[in-house]
Amino acid sequence: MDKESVTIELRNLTTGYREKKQDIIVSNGLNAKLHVGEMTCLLGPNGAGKSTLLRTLAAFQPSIGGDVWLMNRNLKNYKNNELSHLISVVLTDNSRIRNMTAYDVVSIGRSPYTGFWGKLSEKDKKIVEKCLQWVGITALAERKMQTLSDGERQKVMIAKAIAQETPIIFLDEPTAFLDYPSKISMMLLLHRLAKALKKTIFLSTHDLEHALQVADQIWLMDRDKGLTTGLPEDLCAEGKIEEYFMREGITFDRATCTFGVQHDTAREVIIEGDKDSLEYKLVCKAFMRNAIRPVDTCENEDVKVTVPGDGTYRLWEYGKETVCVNKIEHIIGITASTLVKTHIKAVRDAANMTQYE
Amino acid sequence: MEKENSSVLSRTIWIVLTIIGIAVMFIVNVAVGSVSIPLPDVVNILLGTDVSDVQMGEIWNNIVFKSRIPQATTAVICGAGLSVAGLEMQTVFRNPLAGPSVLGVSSGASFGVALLVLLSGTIGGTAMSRMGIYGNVALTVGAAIGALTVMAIIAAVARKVKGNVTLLIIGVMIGYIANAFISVMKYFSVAEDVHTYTIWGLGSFASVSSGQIGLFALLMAILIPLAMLLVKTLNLLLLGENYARNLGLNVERARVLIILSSGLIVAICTAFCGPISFIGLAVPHLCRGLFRTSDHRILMPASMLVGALLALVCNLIARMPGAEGALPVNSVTSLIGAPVVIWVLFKKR
Repeated sequence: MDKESVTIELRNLTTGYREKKQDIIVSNGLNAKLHVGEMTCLLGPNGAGKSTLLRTLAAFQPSIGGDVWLMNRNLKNYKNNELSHLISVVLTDNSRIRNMTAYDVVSIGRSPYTGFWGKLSEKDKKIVEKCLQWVGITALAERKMQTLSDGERQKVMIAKAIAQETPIIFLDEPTAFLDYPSKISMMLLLHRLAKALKKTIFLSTHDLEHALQVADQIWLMDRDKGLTTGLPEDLCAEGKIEEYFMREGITFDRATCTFGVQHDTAREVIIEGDKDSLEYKLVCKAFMRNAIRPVDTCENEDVKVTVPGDGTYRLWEYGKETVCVNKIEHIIGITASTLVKTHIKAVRDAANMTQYE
Repeated sequence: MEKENSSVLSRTIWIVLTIIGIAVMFIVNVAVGSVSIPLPDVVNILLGTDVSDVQMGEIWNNIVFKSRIPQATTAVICGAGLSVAGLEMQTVFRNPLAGPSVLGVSSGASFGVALLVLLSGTIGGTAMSRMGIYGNVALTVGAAIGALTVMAIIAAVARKVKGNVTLLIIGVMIGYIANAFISVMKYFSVAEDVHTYTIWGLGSFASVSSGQIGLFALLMAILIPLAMLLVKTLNLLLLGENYARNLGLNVERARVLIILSSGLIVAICTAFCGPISFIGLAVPHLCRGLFRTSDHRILMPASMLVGALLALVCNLIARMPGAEGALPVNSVTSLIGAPVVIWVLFKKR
């Protein structure tokens, strides 16, 4: 990465709050860089200091130590109205903005450029309309903020940030409160903006998987482990993601950068079929969820499932005829009668739960 | 675009209607009162031509120029001022329940008046109520000193305190302290003085004499335009302090300026008219409903005009045309204002 592309650089930065008696340090020794045209996601558990870092970078609160370099100049030496041309923000809790139309909110994004009365010029109006269009909310322009959904409101604030025409946009948890598909489309939108408009986009989020799939750079943050930055794939390869996020019951697939649930398995069952087929994988998943581990061979071959790949599933039990069904639910239902007792016991043992009696 | 044009049109219509309303109500306020003057004669008096009844001419002339016109003018100025101040408070605190009195400024005025009225009888030995016109001037001065002191305290606190809610609570607390002192003083005062204080507390547009009105008008002619200069700041604050700061606004300075602007307006209005409740709270809501916008470039002048109109209407009702005596303006503003706000809120749904 060449030097030209660096927009923000953290040099041994310490964030926290200034108190009368003693400063409260949230995180220290932070070193990292943000680049133009890239979307960087800040990940970390609650209380890791993500918001404090964002607030410090946006100059909402002073740093306790170290420096932030913004466009090759110390952040401390910028005036408020200079910063309004360089950094725009999208904050959480936009629900308190009421009685304004989406258009009004986006046009306030133009205020660093408008005159004393804040009147929009023809050029300003064109920019506002363009921003609404980029974010895909032209149809919502005349709607009042309180009538919009969380995702729509978030998009209005993003349009406001673009209207501000700053090279850098900070977003504090833009995907919080959104439903699953909206989270993904929000990430994709931001990524597209970073590329198309050559912006430096920096956001905090808890949506780890989406961030790993969409972001250009990842910053991992933790109170104890500090800050680690890098390409999502590098962080996966180095095992950093596991280091920051692994807990009991979670599995992580480094190749696809996805998380899974680790099941306690109590016994095994043989499953035959094309291992690359979707049906085979789904049958395996269903058994895993029921604490039964799919295997190729096992000692007591009393149950065997075959997945021929024609939309049917065959189940053979010792001493019984082969059953052919067309829903996974049915095999699980039949097998469960044989295996359910061991399953419940296994779950109980694993979680150390005793039944209330 | 079409929609935008239609809303501009409806706003213009509302503004024009309000201005016509103010003109009509002003004339009705001048024409109607406990002494009945025939309407053609009112016009004659205003134009300076001869009236039909020569005997009554001098008296009518006095009533119109020394009483009714100052009173109507006071209502216009006070209504406009309080509405602008209320709008500023609601925006800076992002609280729809904030009004001009929320920071304890009018309580400060009451405290100043109470100190003057109640202590002069108890300590000085002369009841204020016997002092006539000098007493009236003294009341204005007392109220102004009390209100400005509280406002100075609040402005100083606003520079230190970070949170808006904290500031709001401090304002309300100062109001409580002032009211507590007033209660104590009332308890130890002569009945006559308590009565004078109570009358002042009911508010009146009639208490500004034709001599004082020039000063009142001059002060407000400076302060209201100054408040207008804050429209962009107020628009930015609609998004909240953090967004406003990010858009280049010096939030701390803006907050002090807005508090000074609205505090001074409230202090002066209260000094001249006594505490007038509700107009400052209700009019901004009314305007948001009528003009369907939160843009202060429209809301500010709209509040000013609608506030003036509402004050004129309240003043007219308070004088109960056709009956002897008058109702306290303060009760009328609430009686008229509250249902109007409720109606607007329902209509908006």
